[in-house]
Parts: sequence; structure tokens; C-alpha cells
Amino acid sequence: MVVTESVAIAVGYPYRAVEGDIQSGQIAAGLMRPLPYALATLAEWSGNTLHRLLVLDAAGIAAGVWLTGMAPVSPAAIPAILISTLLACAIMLLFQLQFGYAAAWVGSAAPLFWIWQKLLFVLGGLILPLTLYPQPLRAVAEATPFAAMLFAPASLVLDAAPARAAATLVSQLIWLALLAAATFLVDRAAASRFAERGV
Amino acid sequence: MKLRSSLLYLAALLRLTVTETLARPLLAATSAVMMFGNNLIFFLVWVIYFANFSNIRGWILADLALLIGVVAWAFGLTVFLTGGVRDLAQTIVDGRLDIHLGRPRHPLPGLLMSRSLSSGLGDMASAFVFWLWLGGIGLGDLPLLVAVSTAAAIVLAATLTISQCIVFWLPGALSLCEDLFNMLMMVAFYPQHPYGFAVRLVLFTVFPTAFISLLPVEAVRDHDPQQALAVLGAAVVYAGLAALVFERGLRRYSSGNRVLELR
Repeated sequence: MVVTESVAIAVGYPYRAVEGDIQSGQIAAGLMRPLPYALATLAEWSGNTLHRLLVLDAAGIAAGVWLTGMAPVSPAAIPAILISTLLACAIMLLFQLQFGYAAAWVGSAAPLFWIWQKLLFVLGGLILPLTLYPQPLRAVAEATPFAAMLFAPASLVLDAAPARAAATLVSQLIWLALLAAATFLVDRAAASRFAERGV
Repeated sequence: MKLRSSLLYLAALLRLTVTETLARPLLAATSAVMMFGNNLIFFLVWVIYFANFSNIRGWILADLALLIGVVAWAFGLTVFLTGGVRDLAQTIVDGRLDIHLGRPRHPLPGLLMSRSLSSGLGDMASAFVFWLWLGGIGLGDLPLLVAVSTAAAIVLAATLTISQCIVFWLPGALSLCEDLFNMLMMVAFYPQHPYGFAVRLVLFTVFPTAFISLLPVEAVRDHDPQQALAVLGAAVVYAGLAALVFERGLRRYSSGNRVLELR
């Protein structure tokens, strides 16, 4: 839970910033800058997320040691968990950027985000590990990007055998590539919409 | 006479805010339906949990349904009637209180009722599903349930008001206000009865989620009028505290000269 909760809380709700920029028309200024709006936004969010992640993980690890009376993970597993956590955050930020852009079409992205967020909680295994789920639901969850965002890094805390860690990281990289491509397409579509209809 | 005048003023404010929210009916309906679905999806976590474990210190799935229904009602009512509470800190920091301070009434009701979130209707509708269907509550318990959940809404709105007023003293604490809101809701949505004395002390005082979810549920489960009265009493106390903290904070307020926007 330390891992799943810290990833979910560290990323937060940054889509609201893009939604706000679109609703207020301030995105026009962002689109004029030499650095693409999406990249600048993702860079800013990455910094904020890393900062929060450090604080949350420090508190979470301390709580984990206090509650269990032992070091929660073996030192050998730490690099894989760290990389997996960063990949999870990156996938979530790409989703958040797409939700922000959704405001260009639907006005308010919040209703879409709520559903996505609760699916993340359920299919990502925020509170309960997917291993406790009934097999059909577990299979569905593992086939979605939600598991790559929460369950993947958390599962490495319990089992970071090299083959398993590699499979987990590869799966996350595939989702990251797919989400990056989808975000690029949404970014292009939003830019076209702003060019045609104004902001 | 004064009370009647105040009630008429609040009713007029409410009518204006709700009319504005429902002016875009499609967006309002979408928000409500999505929030309804959102709450049901969240409940799946507990369905999966109780498929693996029999209870949480005596609470079963129906009790969790009762709890989520209470919090959904409290949150929905809060954001539908007093949605301005979600922006209160930003309004203070931006110096946008001027418009409300110029009116011949206490500024707090106007501020809180300056916005209505239609998603709250979805929350309130989902509460009945949680109570009557998933929680197995009889229609006879519904009046008590609505009463304590409405009192919980007052505690929630008051607590949010107090937490948002932090920016009167710490103008840079906007994100802290948002974090406190998220933390409050996160704790409220989880069962709190297993906690020990120290944590309970916090939950009954500075972080009063016990009055928002635990006590209303216990009052209905045990048919205990004392617990129900405690929730109603807490609503009065926290509402008074919120008004007091807001008035204290107001003394430190710096105008943003936004009264010009009225021109």
C-alpha cells in the first residue's frame, strides 16, 4: 500500500491545470511558446511528482518499518522498484495530460476523470493486491494499463526476482509507449481544434 | 422576522446558484451520472475485500455500503448546496471577497453558495442505492439516516470552510488546503471503528471524520438516539466554529480591489 498510495497521491490531479488553461483561454499563451505546451507541462508535472514522491516514500517507508518491524524490501529489489515506480508515474502523467486536453471537447474533464480514477483504484489494486481478485477480474485488470500504474511497482516489493522484474518493466514500457503515442495524437487533435475554433 | 428574512435570503441565493448550474443541463446530467457510476465502481473494492475476508472488526459489506452512502450524501449535499467551499481558499487569496463584503449580509453564506456542483446530485442519488439496496436498510430507518447524513454534511462543509480559511494566515498554503480536503475525504470513506483511542481523539476533534461517517453509521446500526444527537450537536458546534474562524480570518484579509468587477 505504501507504493500504490504514494504513486497515486504523488501524481495527484494535475489535469486540472490544463483544464483550467483551456477553460480560461490561457492555453493560447502556452501554445505560442517555443517549447511545445505538452512537453513543458509534462516537465513541470514530473518535477512536482518527483518531489512529492520523495516525501511520501520517506514517510511511507518509515510507517512500513514501524508497522511491520522490519525493512519492507530487500536492498536488491530497490532499483527495480524505483524504475517501476517512475514508469508508473510517467504513465499516469500521460493519462492526466489527455484528461486535461479532453476539456477542449467536453468542457469539464472531471466526470471522465472520476470514472478513470475509480477504475484505477479497482483495476490497479490500490487497496487490495490483484492476487486477491477472482481470476476473471484479475485477468481483466492485468490486461489494462491500470495494473501497470499501481500493481506493477507494488508487486515488486513482494517478488522482485530478475525474470519477474524484467517482465514487469517491459510491460510498463509497452504501456508507456502506447500512452505516449496516444497523448501525441490527442495533443495534435487539440491543437487542430484550437486552430480551427479558437481557444 | 430576522430569521424569516435570512431564510428567504438563503433560498434566493440557492435558487440563483442552482439555476446557473442547471443552465447547461447536459453537462449537469453527465456530471451527476458519472459521479453515480464513480461511487458504485469504488464500492467494488469492498465487494472484492469481503469476498476474501468475512468482516472488519465486526463490520460486514452492508455496513460499508451504509458508510459510503452516508459520506456520498454528505459530500453531495455539501457541493450541491455550498459548492463555493471548494474554491474558498483561492477566492481569499485572489482578493475576491470584496464582492461579498459589500453586501448587507454576512459574507460566508453568499461565498459558500456562490457555486453549485451538479455532480453532488449523483452522489446523493447513489446514497439511496447504497442504503436501500446494498446496505439492506428498511424504509423506516430512512428518516434517521437522512437526518444524520445531513448533519454530517454540515460538519463536512464547516470543516472544509475552516481548513480553507488557513490561507488567511498562510496565503501560500493553497495546496495544503487541497491536501487536507483529499485527506479528509480519504479517511471519511474508510471504516474508522478499528482505530485506537489516540486516533479516535483526533477523528472526533481536529479532523472530525468520525462525525461525518463513523458516528452517523453507528447511530443507524445501533438505533442509538444519543449517537444521533451527538452528530446533530457536532453540526451546530462545527458550523459555529467555521463562522468564528472565518470572522477571525477576515480581519487579516487584504482586498484585491475586485469590487470594480461589479461595474
